[in-house]
Amino acid sequence: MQIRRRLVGLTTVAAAGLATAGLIAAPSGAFAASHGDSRPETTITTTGLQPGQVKHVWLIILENKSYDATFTGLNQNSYLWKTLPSQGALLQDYYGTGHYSQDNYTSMVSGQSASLDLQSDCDVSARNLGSNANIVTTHTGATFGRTDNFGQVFSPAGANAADGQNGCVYPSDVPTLFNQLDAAKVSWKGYAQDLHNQPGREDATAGGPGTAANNPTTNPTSMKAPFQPGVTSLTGAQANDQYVAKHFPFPWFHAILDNPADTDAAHIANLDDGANGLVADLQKPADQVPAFSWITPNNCSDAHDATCVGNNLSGAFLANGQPDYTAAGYHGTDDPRATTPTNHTGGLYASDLFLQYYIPLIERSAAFKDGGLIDITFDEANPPFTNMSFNNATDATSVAKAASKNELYRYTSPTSRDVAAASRPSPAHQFPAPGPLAKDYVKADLAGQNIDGNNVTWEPTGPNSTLATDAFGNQLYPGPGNNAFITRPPSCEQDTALVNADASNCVSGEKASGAGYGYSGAKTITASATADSTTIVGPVTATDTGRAVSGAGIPAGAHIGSVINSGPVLVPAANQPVTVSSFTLVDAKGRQLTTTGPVTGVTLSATGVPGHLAAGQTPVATFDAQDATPGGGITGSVLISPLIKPGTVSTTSYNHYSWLRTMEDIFQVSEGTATAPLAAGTVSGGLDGLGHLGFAAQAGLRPFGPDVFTNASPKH
Amino acid sequence: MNRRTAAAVLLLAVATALAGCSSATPSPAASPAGIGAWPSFLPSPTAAGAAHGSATDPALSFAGSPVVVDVAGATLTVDVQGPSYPAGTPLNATQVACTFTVVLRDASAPVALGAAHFDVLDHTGAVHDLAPVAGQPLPATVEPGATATLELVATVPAGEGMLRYAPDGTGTAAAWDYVAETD
Repeated sequence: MQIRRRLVGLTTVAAAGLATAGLIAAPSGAFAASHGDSRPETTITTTGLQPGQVKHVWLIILENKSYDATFTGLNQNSYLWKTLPSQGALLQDYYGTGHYSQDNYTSMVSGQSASLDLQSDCDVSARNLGSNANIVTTHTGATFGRTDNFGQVFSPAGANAADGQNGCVYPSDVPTLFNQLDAAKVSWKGYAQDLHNQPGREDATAGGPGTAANNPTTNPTSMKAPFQPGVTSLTGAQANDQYVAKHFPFPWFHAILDNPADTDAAHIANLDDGANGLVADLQKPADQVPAFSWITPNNCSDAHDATCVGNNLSGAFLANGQPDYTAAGYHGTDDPRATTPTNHTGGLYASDLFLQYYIPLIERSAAFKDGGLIDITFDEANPPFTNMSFNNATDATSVAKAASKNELYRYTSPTSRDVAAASRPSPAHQFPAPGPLAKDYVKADLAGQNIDGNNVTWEPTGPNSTLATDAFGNQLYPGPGNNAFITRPPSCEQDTALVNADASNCVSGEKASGAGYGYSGAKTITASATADSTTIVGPVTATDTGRAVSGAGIPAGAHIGSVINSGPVLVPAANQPVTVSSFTLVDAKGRQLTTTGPVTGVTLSATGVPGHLAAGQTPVATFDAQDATPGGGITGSVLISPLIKPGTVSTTSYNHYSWLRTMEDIFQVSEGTATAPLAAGTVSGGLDGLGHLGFAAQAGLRPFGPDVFTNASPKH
Repeated sequence: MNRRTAAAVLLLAVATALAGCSSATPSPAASPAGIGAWPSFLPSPTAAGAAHGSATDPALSFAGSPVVVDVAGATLTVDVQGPSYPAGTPLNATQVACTFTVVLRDASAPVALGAAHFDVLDHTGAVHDLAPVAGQPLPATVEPGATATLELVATVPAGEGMLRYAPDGTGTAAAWDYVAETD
């Protein structure tokens, strides 16, 4: 018997109440301050800021949530959804650049594009991604245009090479923002929650995975078991150490690893370290606080894990909901991680706890008041469905319905007509159009940025994760979005276990399809319902919609109709589900069915390739052969600063490349002294001579501008 | 309308009635040593605090989320955990003995306690009295600085409902949603 406590729609979800003024400023024509020009009236490219106006930046990066999951009420994370945007700016159309995670981190700090080992979170081996000889040293296509791969590392394994064949650590001639800050004499530090908690787990240089003896060149860490004693995973959290190296950008660049001055305690620190941690730094005078602070919460606090294996900081709050800075403490051995959590719920519930604890400390600091900028963002936009959200955007619940009023996209559940269409036979190597669930999921793979003042729906793919189609319009490669959350037809050559007898259900030439995602054999699950019930409680997700259902108490011809996954449930143990799941029964025409007797378990049909179903299979609901996955989807982002009017909303399209360009411009890295030639460009000059690295150097790429910095009036 | 739909409708109605009346209690977080005051250029902090409930302005909450309750001449913080069930409860039982743990603390003045101050409203609209678990009589009051932990039990239908607290025995000031599932 499972006993569940559930948070139902207690909160009447109000409309966002955020002003929606049209704030896309007219393109101002980027005019960079020339080197050595320190006229105070000179603005920094198109940020609209003046040199030195932003003196301190704190970047807090969270995980795996779309704008529609985070900023609509769907997950009831009111601190990030409502409180923080009311203090600053909500960047409504901020995009991740890829899937599934680590590629976003490396893109942010270097402008390098996606490649499949990094897109797969470096889950095979933490070894080198080529050498300096693999850096593209000539312009391809229009200079700094969409197809110009100048300065990108081209994987020695070739384009679209499978996970494990590429490597993860960039060669020394690929500089990062941090190298640029060094050269511009701008101080910085990377903080990571839980860093070094478990000996032997992240003891390689700069928080790299493995032991201190590991390095990516001569002794790369194997990311798979067996592990060192006390280590249970290098890519996932463990109870005493929820840090994951894939979410910390520093150990993935030789430009950092090879410079001991960049990996010392003054630059790489545990977030809660008593001497070098965040709070210890915030207590210092403003001029002694790092100018740029990168903050990586652990895999619980960053909203990654739906249920946290370790502390989610829920015990670090007073009964009135305020952070307990006195009893829990905030440094040394008395940090908030030492508190006993009251539950193990993760997701956006846990990230709200983290933000509620640390953000006010930053806001109260002298450094923040003196030209501070807090930037809360996400790596990528996983769709607002269960396993990535406590509630589905399609749920027929009061929470989901209220959230739908605030969502950027409309979400629709598949109908029996969609299932029937996907079940009709298709010619060889051709497939039905994607159903609504796949269309909903692919929204999380979209790309966007602003070029020359225009919002565009693309980003450069780079040389390693390209996009192309076959003669039937089927996608051949995963692209930056890595076919994320959708199911592709199998590759005729690479997914032979999924190819049918006459090889009609596959795509020839398709690479790295990820086609294992979504297909399932028949499975039996525990479920419960009384006789004559329209609803069955059981562990299903929205992706099971349309599957045939059989078992005692189930009428003939039944399928899964609508699915509800509701939460968060505040679970007392780490092995408990944080959502309550249920589904309805319908017949092949979508008419509601009721149970014919008590139900204690059901069998769900196998799923197969739409248009090419075998006997007993139903079409997989996330199937999409034709839509490209060009990016990381809209995550949204929140910025708070004395230079931003509270309540600002921007609808300009930005992405991680825009973010990098913004930081480079804010800190005027082009004024730095590292001008020695690299394989492509220089550290301080970047690729374009204006200080922009990688795809941050795209011609006309707009950094955060006056639509964001709405309170940056000229100094007098 | 089946049982769960009825429950959802009932709870939605009650939630709508109560949630619109409850309010968070803004209270600026304490400032750690060495870190300054709240910046003047930001709106006052309104981080989600405990809900605040009274007989005239009741609060709706959920297990594990405390409510600051106004009683006559005093306030106290009340939270609910549970329900838990006796071992051996049959799978899919339609009725189940639910034990709730109610914790009362931070009273600003002595607050009288009694079994009549607590009840359960189930998803059918029926009201059930709660009784102290055998051998654990209720204290007569909760005193300032003390914490009172009550173990209360009632046999209710499997499904959804609310544990209600009425400090004066009549007017509900706070309610906690629960789900009793016997699957």
